[in-house]
Amino acid sequence: MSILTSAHARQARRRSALPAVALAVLIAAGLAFTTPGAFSAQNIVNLLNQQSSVMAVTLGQTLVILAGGFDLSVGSVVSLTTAILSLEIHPLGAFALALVAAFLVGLANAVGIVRFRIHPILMTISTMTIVQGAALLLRPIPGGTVPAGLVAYANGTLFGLPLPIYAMVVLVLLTSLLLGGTRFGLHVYAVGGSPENAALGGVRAARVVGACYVLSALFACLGGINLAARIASGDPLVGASFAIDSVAATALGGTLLSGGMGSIGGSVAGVAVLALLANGLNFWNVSTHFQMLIKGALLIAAVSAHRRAAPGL
Amino acid sequence: MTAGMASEGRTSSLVQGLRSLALTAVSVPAYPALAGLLVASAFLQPKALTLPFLLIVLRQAVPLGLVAIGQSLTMIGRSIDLSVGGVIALVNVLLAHRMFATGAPWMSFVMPLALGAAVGAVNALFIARLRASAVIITLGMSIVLVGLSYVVSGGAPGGQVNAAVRWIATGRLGLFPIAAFVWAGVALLVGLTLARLVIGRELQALGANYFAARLGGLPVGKTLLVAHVASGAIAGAAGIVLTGYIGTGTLNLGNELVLASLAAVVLGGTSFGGGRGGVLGIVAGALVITYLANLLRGMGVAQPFQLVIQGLIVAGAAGLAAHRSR
Amino acid sequence: MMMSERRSATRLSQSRTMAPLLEAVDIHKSFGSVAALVGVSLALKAGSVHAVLGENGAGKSTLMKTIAGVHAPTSGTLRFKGEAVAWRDAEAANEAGVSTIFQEFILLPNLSVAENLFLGREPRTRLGLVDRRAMIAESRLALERLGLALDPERLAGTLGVAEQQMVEIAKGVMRDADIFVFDEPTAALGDREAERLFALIRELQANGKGILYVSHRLPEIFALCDTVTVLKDGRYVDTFATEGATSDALVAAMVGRKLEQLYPPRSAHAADRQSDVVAFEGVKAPGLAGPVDFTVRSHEIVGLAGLEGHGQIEITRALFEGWRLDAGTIRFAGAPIRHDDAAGGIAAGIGLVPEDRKREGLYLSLGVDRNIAAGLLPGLSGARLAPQARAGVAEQIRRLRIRLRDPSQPIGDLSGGNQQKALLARWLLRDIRLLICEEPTRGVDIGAKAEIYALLRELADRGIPVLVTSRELPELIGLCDRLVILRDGATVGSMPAAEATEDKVMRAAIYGELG
Repeated sequence: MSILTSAHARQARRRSALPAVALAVLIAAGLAFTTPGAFSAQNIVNLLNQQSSVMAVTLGQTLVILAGGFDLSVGSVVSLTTAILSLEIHPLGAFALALVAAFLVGLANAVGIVRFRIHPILMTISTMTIVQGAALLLRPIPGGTVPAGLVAYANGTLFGLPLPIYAMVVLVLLTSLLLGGTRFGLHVYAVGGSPENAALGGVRAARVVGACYVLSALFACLGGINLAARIASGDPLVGASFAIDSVAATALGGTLLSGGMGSIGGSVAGVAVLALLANGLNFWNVSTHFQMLIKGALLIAAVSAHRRAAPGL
Repeated sequence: MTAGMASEGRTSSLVQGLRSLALTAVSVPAYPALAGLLVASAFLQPKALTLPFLLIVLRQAVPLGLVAIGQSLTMIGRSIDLSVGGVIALVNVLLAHRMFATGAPWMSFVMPLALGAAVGAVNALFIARLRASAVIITLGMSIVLVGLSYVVSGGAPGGQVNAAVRWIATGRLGLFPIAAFVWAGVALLVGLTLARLVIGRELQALGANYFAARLGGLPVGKTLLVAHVASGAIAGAAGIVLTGYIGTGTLNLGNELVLASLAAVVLGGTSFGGGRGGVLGIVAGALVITYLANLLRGMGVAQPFQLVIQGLIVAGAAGLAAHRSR
Repeated sequence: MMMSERRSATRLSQSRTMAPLLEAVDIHKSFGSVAALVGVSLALKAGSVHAVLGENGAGKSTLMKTIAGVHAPTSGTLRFKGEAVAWRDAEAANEAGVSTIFQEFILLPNLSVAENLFLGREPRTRLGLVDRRAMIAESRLALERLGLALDPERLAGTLGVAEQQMVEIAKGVMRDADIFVFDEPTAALGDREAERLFALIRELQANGKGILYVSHRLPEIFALCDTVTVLKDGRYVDTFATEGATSDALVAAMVGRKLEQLYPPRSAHAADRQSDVVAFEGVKAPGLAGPVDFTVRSHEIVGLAGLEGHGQIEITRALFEGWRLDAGTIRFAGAPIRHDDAAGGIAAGIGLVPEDRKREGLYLSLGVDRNIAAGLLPGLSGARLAPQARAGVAEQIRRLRIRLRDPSQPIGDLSGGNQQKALLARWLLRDIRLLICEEPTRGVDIGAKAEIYALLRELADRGIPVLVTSRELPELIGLCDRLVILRDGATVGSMPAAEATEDKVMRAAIYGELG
């Protein structure tokens, strides 16, 4: 609770996003001053397009973290989804299979964590490994082709903007509405505050937490569909960085890793920070090796701001 | 009357003995799992029960076994160390670097331990002092370390490591691999520390209740520091052994040991905040995972399928642990 | 057959004439092999404040949780407004009209007051979204009706304990509950806040609600309740009308023991011949407006008395942890204290039993022996062999009569009284020169209470003084030699406990001067 900036509940939630927004603006300003080309319309569009998959995954991750959990299996779900979509079976079958697979992964996480009380880190690391294995079994090496419609979607534009950008915006708006406007959203905050108290207060806590894991897997699946469309093939390892990136973006966005406080707006800003930073480092000719190093340092810095009552996971 | 009571006492003590045996089996899933694997291999792959094969498994289990012992220290203190993979990756490219490959042999041993200890100290600073999420801090640290290993090797490692490093990893003392003695030594040291020394008691108390430990006058920050430094240094030692096996620098060595170490610890009956299995359980856990991988490979089971099985093992063991603590 | 018919007929006619709002008939509840309730019955009438009295472990909380739908009874019938009910969960009971204000608060600190008030039954707009405007407006109305000027959008976590409790009550009022269950509501309240709570309960009563009031504080029960049902060891003992009942009768029903037998006789050591062990001299510190001036002498039990939260915990922790002071000096054994953390306080010879045993005292998953021997660890180098102290631990377990299966049994399995004794044993094992005991008998049953009081007295008689805090004034007066009275983080003065009455102490604590 040390990051409380207001005694007003909704204000406190909104304000948790401020540092990320400020950081994003700062990096953007730095970019604008040092590199003239950075703010060309083309670069911005590219950036948004590139981030659409990470954004989708981060939305799901934010739900899980707000409810007091962690989902490290999202990256594997992204990989599995691209692997399934590249199986070259009937497109509808492929989509259905990908969604069902993701749903089952989410359900497994939910049951393990809620019903069997397995620690979220251990549970989702397990499913991460299992799903990674499944992705490799389906598509040992990158390749294959995805349904033609998907490629058309990735290349399609509306008013000059690529379709994935619209998809991303719609997804962000829907998730904010879900979190900020519905009972379910309020209950996500409630269980993140204290699952026991929420249950005593009339929230079906187990269902809410479980639903977050299922939604997270489905969001990861959407991210995977979007990614498969953009790379037009399957890749069993393509999602490897998504778990870390989505947690990093969520933490950067001011959501407490212990749950109960944060916002979708923050996570959007968190994704923006990661994207702008990667973009800036490219413009400034920093090697990819150093970029990795900086990303790790940023992740450490982001969570160091959230001091808890006791040290721990 | 008296005799009846005495015999009743004996039966009840027998029942109690059986119950405590069953409890141990549930508490430390590695023991029944190891027994089950040995029995199963007698049917499926009798070759896997021969001494040479078992010695190979023993040697292969050393890096994982080392990392898991270090990992267990952080987990007992309700923390976690996901940076062990990064430590091994960086140690590996450094050992293959000219400076250490051609330098004095002691440098190749001191550097990994010192590097691991330093990484652990930094982790502990963030986790204990700033009280940031241990998962994210050590994950971030891992990324930094792997990034550093790319920077050091320029993305193209290679080269030869010091002969002493190869010797400690692949050499034998009589029948037994030298590396196994290193493992046994570390296990003994950590086991005694946990069971007998003040710092071991402090770590277990801290894992059981941080606030009580702090108000009870225990040096909570220092204890977490020691746990993380030990975990880092032991990961460094695992880096030496693993590098010695392959003899050269490579990218992202040790990556899969992070998950496997969690699996070994959980199989060994330890979870976040402590447990019942002790170091012996964790040693058994590492043997189970390594033996299983070898068995599956011997049976021609594909690598991805092994991942699936490993994931199921962690989930199953963690489920048992959670069930037990309720 | 005939008999049972007739019995049920009588009960029916009874229910018509006296109209019980809620009736619990022959409730049994077991957890595994442990029977928590054995045939408990109770009838609550509308417009009645009905006390449920009993020692800790008597089954009060289990009974309340059964009525609140948290536990399903193993057997027996619950009748609500004349109809048998079987509530699936707390929410179902809530829905039906039973509002429970639990001992531990269930507000969510990260939600607003309004969100807490409407949790699980948020009003929705036609689009199916949460209607925040309606939520806030209705919350404001409900709070105002209770005389609370709280912003409905405020984070519940920023409210004080008393305010949180009021919000809990508002929740019940808003749902127009018929029955309000209060489970030891004053445990965390100061007297002023408690008065406000009582006024509210009387208002609910006047509106024809039925109120179940769980407490072991007899004065409250006499002031507030019209009926008392006494439980003991999970069994129904008796039901009294408060009018005409005496404290002694109730206590006798509760424990079969007289009140004054609880406390050991005071010290025979003359106060004027003792030396100061602790001296606070003009102390000001964070949370202590000061000046705090008092002493604790050898052979003495000193109690910190005053309203809840007026500096008691700050004083004990400033001494134990060696807080940085804004002004003044704390002397221990003659010299100003030098330590600046708990380890230092222990090294100096101070032991502390914290008020929140589970949060700050016990290692719940570790064995009783480990919990006791943990007192020997502070100050030892980490590289040393851990002291086994098996004999010492065994002796403490025997001497304090800690009931357990074997010493390595997890301490979480033990009753509150045995846990508290183990915490005391932790310090007895060490060579301490002062014991600080915050809330020595919180959550401890009466039997163990007497043992703990005797133990503290024995310590004092051996020359190890004890500094005590307690929310229960009778306990302080009965146990201590001297009371130091606090008001707003400053000391008012001190008085011999033998001359103290609850009235005198409260006056001093409220008006800030000794009579």
